[in-house]
Amino acid sequence: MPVDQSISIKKIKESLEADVIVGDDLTGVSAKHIYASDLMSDVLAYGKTGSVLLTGLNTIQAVISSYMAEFTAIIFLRGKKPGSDMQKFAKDKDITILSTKADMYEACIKIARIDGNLPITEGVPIHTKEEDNITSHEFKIDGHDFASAGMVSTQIKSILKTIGYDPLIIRRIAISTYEGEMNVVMHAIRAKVTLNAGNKEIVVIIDDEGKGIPDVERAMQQGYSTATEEQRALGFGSGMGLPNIKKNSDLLNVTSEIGKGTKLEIKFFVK
Amino acid sequence: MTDHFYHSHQIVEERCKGRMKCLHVCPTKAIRVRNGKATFITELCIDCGECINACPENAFIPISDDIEDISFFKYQIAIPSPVLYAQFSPEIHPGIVHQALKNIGFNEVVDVYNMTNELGFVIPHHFKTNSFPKPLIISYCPTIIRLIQVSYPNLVNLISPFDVPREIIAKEIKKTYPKKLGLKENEIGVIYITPCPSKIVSIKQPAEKERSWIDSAIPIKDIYNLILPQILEIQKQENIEELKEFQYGSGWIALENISEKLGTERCLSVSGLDHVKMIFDDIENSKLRNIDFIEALACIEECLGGPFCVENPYIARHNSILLKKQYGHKQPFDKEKALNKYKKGFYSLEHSVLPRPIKYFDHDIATSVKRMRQKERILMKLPQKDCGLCGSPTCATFAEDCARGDVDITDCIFFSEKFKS
Repeated sequence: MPVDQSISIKKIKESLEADVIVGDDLTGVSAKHIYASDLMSDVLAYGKTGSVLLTGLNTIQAVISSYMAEFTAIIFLRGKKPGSDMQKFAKDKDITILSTKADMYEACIKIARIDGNLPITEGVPIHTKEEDNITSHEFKIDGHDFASAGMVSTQIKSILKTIGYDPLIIRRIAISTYEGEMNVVMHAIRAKVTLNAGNKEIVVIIDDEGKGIPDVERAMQQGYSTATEEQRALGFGSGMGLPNIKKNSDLLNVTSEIGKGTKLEIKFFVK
Repeated sequence: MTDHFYHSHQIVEERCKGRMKCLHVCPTKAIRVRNGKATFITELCIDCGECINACPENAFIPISDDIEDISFFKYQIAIPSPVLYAQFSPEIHPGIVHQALKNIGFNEVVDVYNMTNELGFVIPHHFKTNSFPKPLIISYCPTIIRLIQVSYPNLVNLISPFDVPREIIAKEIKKTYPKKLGLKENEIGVIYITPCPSKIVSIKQPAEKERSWIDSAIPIKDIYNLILPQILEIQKQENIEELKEFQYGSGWIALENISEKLGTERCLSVSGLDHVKMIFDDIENSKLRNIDFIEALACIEECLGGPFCVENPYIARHNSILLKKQYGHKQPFDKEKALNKYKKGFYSLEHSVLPRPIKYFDHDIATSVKRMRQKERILMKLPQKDCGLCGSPTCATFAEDCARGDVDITDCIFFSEKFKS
């Protein structure tokens, strides 16, 4: 059950008349969401970062799953008290543990009634932000590292294939990322590549530290290249980079600052 | 998981001791060890045979036809892979191998050599006179075709539109022999003698046609035991000279056979699945701009390194070189006739190869994206040691299995109760 705004754990403790098992200082611990389940595979699959878990499962699996799913606290129901190994693990990972006599239904209702700010009837709006529908991945590229050139593009491709996008869009992204990656290897010092993959669009951002592009408009023209003779001898720098990215993407945004670096924002729309 | 895909191996559970050798060698990460026993995800398996080679307990057993299974055909024709001849020392003439096959019950032995020759003429002709997507992937290796279907669905349109010699020759037999022998088509059995399990799969469940022209396939290692005593017997006879009417070409079992004819400067030859994957990644990134053709084989020693081979692949290659030197002279063939057949599409693939639809998470992209988020979140906290003790080949695949809900996080030894106490 998602909660619209965070509730402090102190308030939850009071409303459930719960005991604190792990956690010295409850100030600053809060619940962005509440997740109630005994099935830990569901916790891993559906639980959101910053949630508080309500569960009757008194095994280490509950604590480990909460840690994996980046939950802030666990509330054990029906008076269950975790063993020492679970307490130790939770302490190490900075997870608060409470124990209440309430059962799951009662606990859910009590939390929902805190401050009277939540409708408890059916049709609780499931509040999902746009960012929840995007998976983000970061990669690094080193300039002049020709041996690893293409690695990022290959990793990105493998993520997109696993998600199951259309092969054609994956191909276009692979080509664009590879071109961008080669530009970094040839011209920049280093770069951070971010992949934001969602169900509506896929965005690749290549943000480099380097000398920047003096004339972006010219660089977008086919055949224009500032590659050195050596780089050309290796088969690069035919002036295909940016125009080829443009050709393969749905939207390309280039911003560049001389002496600082260049940022490419490449967008692809998922049909 | 559906049993939609035919595979040439099965796992004998009693034999499997969960030693995880297979887990780490599988190139598509299809294997999981669950409850101490190996299992595999059928849509990911590309029949490369790595698991068969890797298993110390021989728990993966190939499913192949037995010599008895084919006895109901009235007329049995063997098509040996040229790999068979290279299993024997060059003193053993391939003609003797043919005779040995006849002694154990085959009515006739037909070589792929002539068909390789015809294709070696027709394929370059086709590419000189037609435009085609580049780089074109030429592979008679069913595992490579399946690798493309499973891991590189982008590249299916780059697969060469020509069928492989063994299939075309079987087709020719099925079209001409019934009339010649006065038998029905289904009374003539065409049996391929194969160096690897993947060719069995391509015969039982072809990727590019409804039904293979070949009826059955028998592993080289099974045939070897049967014909070896025959060969020793034949060698003792005095009139063996007449058996020696024979030409040998390593044909398609080795690389650079086609590229020789297409002009090596535009061709790239690659073997070994890891290396093939590197090249395919480069194609997807559009890196290979000056290459027109790619020849690819899954086994690192090419077909001589197939899991059903008996001889050490390096010795086999040596034998093959010597055989080629002795018997490799080309036999002339009717070029007009070959061109005619080409125009009629006799050599073409019957239909194009399609990608194999694989569902890692969900068919719905939005759900899939959420799963990927979970996967990343779990992966960040895993030890990244890829030990495989959880039963998934890598921490990344374990995180994927977790996000899908197939396994529990406590299956990871680093988070298990046993480890904590």
